[in-house]
Amino acid sequence: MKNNISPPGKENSRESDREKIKTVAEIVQILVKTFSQMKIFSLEHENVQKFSDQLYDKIKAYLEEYWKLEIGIEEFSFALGDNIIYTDEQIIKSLPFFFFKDGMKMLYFYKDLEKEEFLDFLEIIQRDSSLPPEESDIVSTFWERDFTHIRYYAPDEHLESKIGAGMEVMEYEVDKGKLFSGKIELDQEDRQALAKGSGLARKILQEEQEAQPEDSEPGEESDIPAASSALTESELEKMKHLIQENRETPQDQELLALLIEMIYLEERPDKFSSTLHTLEECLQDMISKGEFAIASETIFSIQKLEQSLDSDLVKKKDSIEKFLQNTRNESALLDLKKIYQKDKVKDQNAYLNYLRLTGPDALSLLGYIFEEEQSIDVKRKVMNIIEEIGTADIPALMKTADNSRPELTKGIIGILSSSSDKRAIQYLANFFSYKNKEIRTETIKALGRFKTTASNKILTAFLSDQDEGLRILAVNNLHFLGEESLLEHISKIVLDKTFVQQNLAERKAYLDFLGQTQKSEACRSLDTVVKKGRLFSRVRTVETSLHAVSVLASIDTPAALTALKANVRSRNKKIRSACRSAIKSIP
Amino acid sequence: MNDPKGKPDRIAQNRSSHPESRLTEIQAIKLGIEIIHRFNRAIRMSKIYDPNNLIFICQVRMLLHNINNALEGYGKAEFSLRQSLLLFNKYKLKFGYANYYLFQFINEEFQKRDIGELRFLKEVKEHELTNFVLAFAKKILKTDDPHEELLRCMEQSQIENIIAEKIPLHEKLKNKERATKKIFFLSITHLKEIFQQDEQKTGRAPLLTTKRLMQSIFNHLTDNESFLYGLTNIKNFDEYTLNHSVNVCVLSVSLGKKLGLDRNELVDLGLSAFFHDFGKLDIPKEVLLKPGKLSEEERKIMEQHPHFGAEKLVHLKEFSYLPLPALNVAMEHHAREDEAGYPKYSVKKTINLYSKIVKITDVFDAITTKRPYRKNDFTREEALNFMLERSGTEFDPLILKIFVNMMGALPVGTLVLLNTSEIGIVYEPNPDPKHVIRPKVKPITDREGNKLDGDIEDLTEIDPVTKQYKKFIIKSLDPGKYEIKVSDYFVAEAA
Repeated sequence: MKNNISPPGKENSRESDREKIKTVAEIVQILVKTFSQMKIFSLEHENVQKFSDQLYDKIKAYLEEYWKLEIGIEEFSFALGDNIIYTDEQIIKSLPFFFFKDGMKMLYFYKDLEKEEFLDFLEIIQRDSSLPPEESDIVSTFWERDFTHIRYYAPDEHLESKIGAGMEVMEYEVDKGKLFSGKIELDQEDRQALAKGSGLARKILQEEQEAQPEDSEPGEESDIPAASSALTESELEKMKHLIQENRETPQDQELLALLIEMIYLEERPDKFSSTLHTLEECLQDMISKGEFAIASETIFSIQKLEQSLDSDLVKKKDSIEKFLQNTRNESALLDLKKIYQKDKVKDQNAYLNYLRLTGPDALSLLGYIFEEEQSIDVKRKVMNIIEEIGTADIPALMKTADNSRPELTKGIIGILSSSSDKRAIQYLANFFSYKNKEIRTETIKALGRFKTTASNKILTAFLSDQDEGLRILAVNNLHFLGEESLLEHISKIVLDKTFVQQNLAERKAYLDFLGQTQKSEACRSLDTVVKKGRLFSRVRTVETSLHAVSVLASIDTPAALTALKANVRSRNKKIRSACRSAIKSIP
Repeated sequence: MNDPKGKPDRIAQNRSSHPESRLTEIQAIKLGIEIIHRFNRAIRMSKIYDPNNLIFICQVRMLLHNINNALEGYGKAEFSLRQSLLLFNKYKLKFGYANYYLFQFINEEFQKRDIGELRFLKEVKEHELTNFVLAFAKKILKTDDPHEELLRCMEQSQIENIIAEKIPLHEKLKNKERATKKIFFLSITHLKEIFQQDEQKTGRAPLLTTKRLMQSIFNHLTDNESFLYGLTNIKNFDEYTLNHSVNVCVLSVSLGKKLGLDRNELVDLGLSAFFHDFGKLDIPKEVLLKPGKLSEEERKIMEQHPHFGAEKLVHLKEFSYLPLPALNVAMEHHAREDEAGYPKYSVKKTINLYSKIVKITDVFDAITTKRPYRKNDFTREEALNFMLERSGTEFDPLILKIFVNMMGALPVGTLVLLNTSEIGIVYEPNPDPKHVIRPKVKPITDREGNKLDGDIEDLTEIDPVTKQYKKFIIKSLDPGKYEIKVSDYFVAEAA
C-alpha cells in the first residue's frame, strides 16, 4: 500500500511522487470546478453531474491505487504533503478557504468510498456554502453527517480562536512539585481498616476468582459478545423504548406545550407578553403547516388560562385577549380559509375543532366550508359546530345566513327553530326579506313549528307572498291560538271577492284554517262562502262552497250544524246535496 | 427549531432498499464485534494463564476462527480507527449499552499504541496470533514509543501476516489529556461569555460555536472518557454555576451515550445540559449565594429559575439554533418522578428524557460540591448511595441505574486505600463490567505514605508467580480528611 509521499533520495520514488501529486492536483481541480458549478446549478444539473461523475471516478481510481487520499488545507490552498497543488485567494469563491475558515486542516477520502456518500458530501458542501458565513460551519456539518469514508481533521485550536475573545481564558494550574511532595499519614480508623480489611478483602477476591474462572469453556461459542450488563433484558427494552419515545415526540407540539407552561408560570407582565408573543408566532407556524390538533390544544389551554386568571391581573388578561383576538381577526381567518382552499388541512376534525374554538368569528368560514363540502358527514359536522357556536351567539349566526347560500341558511333556520332562545322567532322574521324560495319555505316551516301567536303573526306576513305555494304553506303552518285578529284577517281574505280567483288548493287551505279554529265566527264565514254558490255560479265558486261544506262538516259545533242546515235548500244541487250528506254524517 | 438530522440519510435509504447488502453489513458488523470480543478475552486470558494453557489456546483459536470467517466471507479482516470511528472492513461498527466496553477497549488499546489500522492477512497462523496477543498484552511503559515497541515485538516473534499501521501523525493528539483539559476550561470560558453577554445585553449568543464545542466534548469523551470524568472533580472554578454547568454537560453526554443516544442527539443533550441553569442569571445574587438556609420567600424565588431559564432561551435571538430539549431541560431539571419537584405543570403531563438525565447529573455534581449553604459535600460514592435511596421518587430508576453503572462502584476520582498501604485515585473504571471493583488506579503515595506521581496501575493485573491479583482496594477514603484535592491530580496529568 502506498500512502505517503516518499522520502527524497530515490529516483523511482520521486517519479512516483510526481505522478501522485499530478493526479491529486487534477482531482482538486475537478473538485473546484464541481464546486463552482454547484454554486450556479443544482446537483441534478447536467453540468454538475458531469463534473461530479468525473470527480468520483478520479478519486475512486486514486483510492484503488493509494487506499487513502489526503488533502491538506491551508488558508487559500490545497496541499499534498508539503506541495501546494491549488490556490485561490478570492474569499468568496475559494474552496480551500471555505474549509479553512471553520478550522479544517485535512480532508481524507478512503477506499470503499461509495457514490451515494460522495454525492452526500457534495450536497453538504453546496448547502453550507450557500449560507452566510456566520450561519455555517462545515466542520460541524461534517461531524453531524459522520461519513464513513470521508473524514477530516480539525483541531480544537479553532475553538480557542472563537471562544473568549477579549476575556481571559482562565485555567486551573497545579504545582506538581508541591503536589507530589510530603507525606500522608493514615488515621487510626483507616489503619485499622487496612489491617482488618486486607485479609478479608484478599479472601473475598480469591473466592471470587476461584468461583468465576474468566475463561470460556473450550469450544464455547456465543452469538453475542460477552454482554455482561447489570441491566436485565426488560430494562434494556425499556431503555430502548424511552429513547424511541423521545425520538417520536412531536417537536412542535412539545414546544407549544412548554410555552404554555411558561406562560402559566410567568408572573412578570413584560415577560408574560413576550412569551405569549413567541407562542403566537409558533401557533401561526403550526397553522401554516396545517397542524390543527396542536393549534387547537394551544388555543384551548390559553382560553382556560384566561378563565382562571384573577380579575385583578388586568395586564395579563389584556395580553391574552389580544392574543386570542389575533387568532380570530380578519387576516387570521383569511389564512385559515386559504389553508382550507389549498387543501393543506392534515386532520379535518382538528381543523374544525380549531374553528370551533375560534368561536363566532369563524362562523362565516364555517358557512363557506359547509357550502363547499361534498361529504354529507362533513357537512353534518360543520353544521353541528355552527349550531354550537350559533346558539350561544344568535346575532353572529344571523350574519352567517345569506340569501345566496340557501343550504347553509336553511341549516341556520333549522338551528333557530330548535333553539330555546325566545328571540329565535324574531330572528326568523328576518328571513321574510330573503328572496330565495327555499329559504322562505324553510322559514315558514320553522315558524310553523313554534305554534305561537308571534310565529302566526310572522306567518301572516307570508300570506301576501307572490308565490302561491308559499302562501299555501304559510296558511297551513298557522296554528290558531284564539287570536281574534287572525281569525278576522283570514275571514276577510276568504270573504273577499277576489278569493275565488285563487287556486283551489289555496282556497282550501284558508277554509281549512277556519275549520281548525272551531269558532262560530269561522262557521259564519264558511256559511257565507257556501251561500256564494248559486244555481248558475261558476265552477270555481261552487268548488269553494263545496269545500266550505266539508270543512263545516268537520267542525263538531252547533254553529257548524246551523250553517249546514241553512244551506240544505241551496239552489245549487251539488251544494244542497253536500249539506244534506254532511248533516247525515254528524252523529 | 432546527432539525439536527437535516435531510434524510440517502445512503441509509439506498442500503435499506437492498436487503442483501444490508444483511452483509449486519453480518460484518456482528463478526467485527465478535472478533474484538475474542481479542479482548484472549488478552485477558494471556494475563492469567501461560501461553500453553488450554484455556488461553482455546481463546486464540476462537479468535482465529472468527478472523478466518471474515477473510473467507469478505476477503479481508481489517480494523480502522479514524478519529473515534471504528470500521471493520468498510463498515462502521456500532456498539450498544451492553458491549460499549468493547469499543472502549479497542479504542483505548489502539490509541495507546498509535494504531490506525490493524489488518489480518489471509495466511495468518495460530502461532502468529498467539504471539500478537502476547505482544499486545505487554504493559506499555511511559518511555516507550508504543508503536515501535509493538512492531519490534512482532518482528521478534516473526509475525508476518498481521499488520499494525501507525496512526497518521496529525491525527494523533500530542497530549490527549492536555487537549481534553483545554476543552474543559474553554467550555467554562464560553459559558461565562454567554452569561456576560446576556447580563450586559450585548452581542449574540454564539450558539454555532457552542454546538461545535459540544461536538468536541463528544470527541474527547470517546477518546478520553475517564480523564474527562476526572476533570469533573474540579469544583467551584471561577463561578460555581459555570463550572457546575460544564460538569453536568460532560456527565450528561456520557450518560446519554451509555443510554444509546446517537451522536447528534448527544450534542443536543450537551447543549441542553450546558444551559440548564441559565435561569439562575435572573435570580438575585443575595439569594443565589446566600450562605445559610433560604427563607420560604427566597426558596420560592430560587424555584423560579427553571422557567426563567426556559424563558431566557426562548428569547435568545439565536433560539432557532438551539435544540428544543434545551427548553425542556431548563424547565424540568428539578422535576421529580413523584411530581413533588418544581415547577408544577398545569397542562403538560410528561417530562423529557433529557431532563431526566440532566436531573441526575445535576444533583450528582451539586451534592459532591462544597457550597456555602451546606456543611459537608458528599464523596462521589456517598452521592451515588444517596441518590439510589431516591430512585423512583426523585430520579428515574432505570436512568439512575445506568448512571450508577457508568460511574462504577468506585467512580473516577475516588480516593482509595490499597492493600499495599498505598493511597491511590481511581483513574479509570475497568471497561469490563466483570471488573468493576478493579479499576485503574494512580498511586499518589508509596507504602509509607510518601507522596509520589505514580504510574497508573490496572488492578486486574495478576502476579505471574502467585497467580493472584497484584493489588486490590481495601476501602475508599474521604479526600477531605487528608486535605487531598482529587482534581489536582487530573489537572497535573495534563500539565
